[in-house]
Amino acid sequence: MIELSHAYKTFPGPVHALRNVDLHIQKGEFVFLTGPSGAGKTTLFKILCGFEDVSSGKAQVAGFNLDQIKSSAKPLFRRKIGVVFQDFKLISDKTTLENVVLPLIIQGEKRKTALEKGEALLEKLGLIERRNLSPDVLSGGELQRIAIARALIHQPPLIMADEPTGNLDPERSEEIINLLENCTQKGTTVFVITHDHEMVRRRKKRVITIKNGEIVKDGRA
Amino acid sequence: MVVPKKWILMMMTTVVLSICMVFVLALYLGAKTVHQMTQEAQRNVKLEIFFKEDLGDGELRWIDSLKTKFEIQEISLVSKAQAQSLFVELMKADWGAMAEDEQLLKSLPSSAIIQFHDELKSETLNSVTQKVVNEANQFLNYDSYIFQKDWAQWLATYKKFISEISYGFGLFIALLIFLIVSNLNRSLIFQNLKEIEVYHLIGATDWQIARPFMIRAINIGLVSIVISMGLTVALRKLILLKANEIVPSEKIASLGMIEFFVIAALMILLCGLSAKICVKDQIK
Repeated sequence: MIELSHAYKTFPGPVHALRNVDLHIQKGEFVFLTGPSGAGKTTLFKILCGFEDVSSGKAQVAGFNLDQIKSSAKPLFRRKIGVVFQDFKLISDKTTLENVVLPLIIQGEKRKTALEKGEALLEKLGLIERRNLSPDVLSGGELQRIAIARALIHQPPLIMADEPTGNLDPERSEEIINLLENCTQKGTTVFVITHDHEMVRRRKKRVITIKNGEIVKDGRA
Repeated sequence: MVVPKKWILMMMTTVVLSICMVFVLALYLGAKTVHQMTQEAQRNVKLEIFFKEDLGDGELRWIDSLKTKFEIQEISLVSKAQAQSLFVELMKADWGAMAEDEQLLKSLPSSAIIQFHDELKSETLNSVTQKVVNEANQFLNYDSYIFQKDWAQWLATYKKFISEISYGFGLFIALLIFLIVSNLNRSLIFQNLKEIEVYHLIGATDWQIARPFMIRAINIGLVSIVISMGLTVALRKLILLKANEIVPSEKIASLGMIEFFVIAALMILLCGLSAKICVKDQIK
């Protein structure tokens, strides 16, 4: 699902954000990415989501060669992945349900069908009561679940989550990770950036540790 | 209730666009009025033939025959006596006194004024006029003729000047509208930067992102067209009032449906295009 080979990312300065990163993630895997601040986690996340290009090396995600991808093909690639952003990136002018169904609408799904699918998913996540509310009035945990619902709605083969438990209490964090873990049962690959070492230890999943732009550890917790 | 900033911006855009479009339409109507007035004036070419003595039977018959020969619609005859009395009336009106110069009155010529009101082009009219003048040469007491096209020619020069000025202003205002609408659209788009970012990140194409903004800009354009047309109709009455003082015609300064739709379509296209450019700029 994810293949990175000798990937480098250098920003003007020069700042070497990633150095010689090799990464292989299979379909259906659940992977945590950890590391100190400034280690290159976000840069790696952005490259895997297609928001940044690699400076050199090869990057293949969900069947797309990201080192050679044309800008016109990037939207098609982004539709293949579900992204959960640290700051949720929900639109205040739209209702919760409208936010959730946005990827389906973008992919050309009929509005009525999309809304039906959205309602079904919100029902599953226990958020159906909140469907007509603006994201502005929801709690942190609810916003996080809405963001996950938006990433799941179009059933992507890969879910990328940037600190999905960042501002949540332990109980809510467990709930969110359970939700993401359930996705792997259907063959979805889940890639999660986190700082929560305690939770990583408990889950006993594959953990990749990055430091100064290099992968320093890759194995089970 | 607090009015959202983007609504205020949308209203501002509509008002500014309406005012700019009134300028464009007024310029267009002004240039068109001058053009139509010139055409109208060139149609009404007046040929005034002066005779040394009062018109005799021969001249009267000849003048009468011109009507059928050259399809002239109106011939006015001014006899020496009529001319003298008219002159005296004018003198009275102007200076409040009788003209004392008897010699001047006696020297006044008789004249036949022939007006061409047809749809001929000015070149054809000139040739007809020349033929009439040639025929008039058969009369011994034929003195001189005045081909009164001076003011039509003056208006034609004025038309050229007005057209050039109008085109210049038109281009300037079009550029100004584009800049103003682009900037206001940009402000509107800045209010929705987060929305653009989210759409972009979850896989929307540039076109999908720009479409709602373009629709909004086009709606603003449509409302502006309606407002500016209302204002222009009022303005047109003023233009017509002035135009009719010079050349009475019902046809002057009309804005046809096709012209209106072309101008409206161009303005709406401009709004949509500026929104597309602004959004594209933000996505980059």
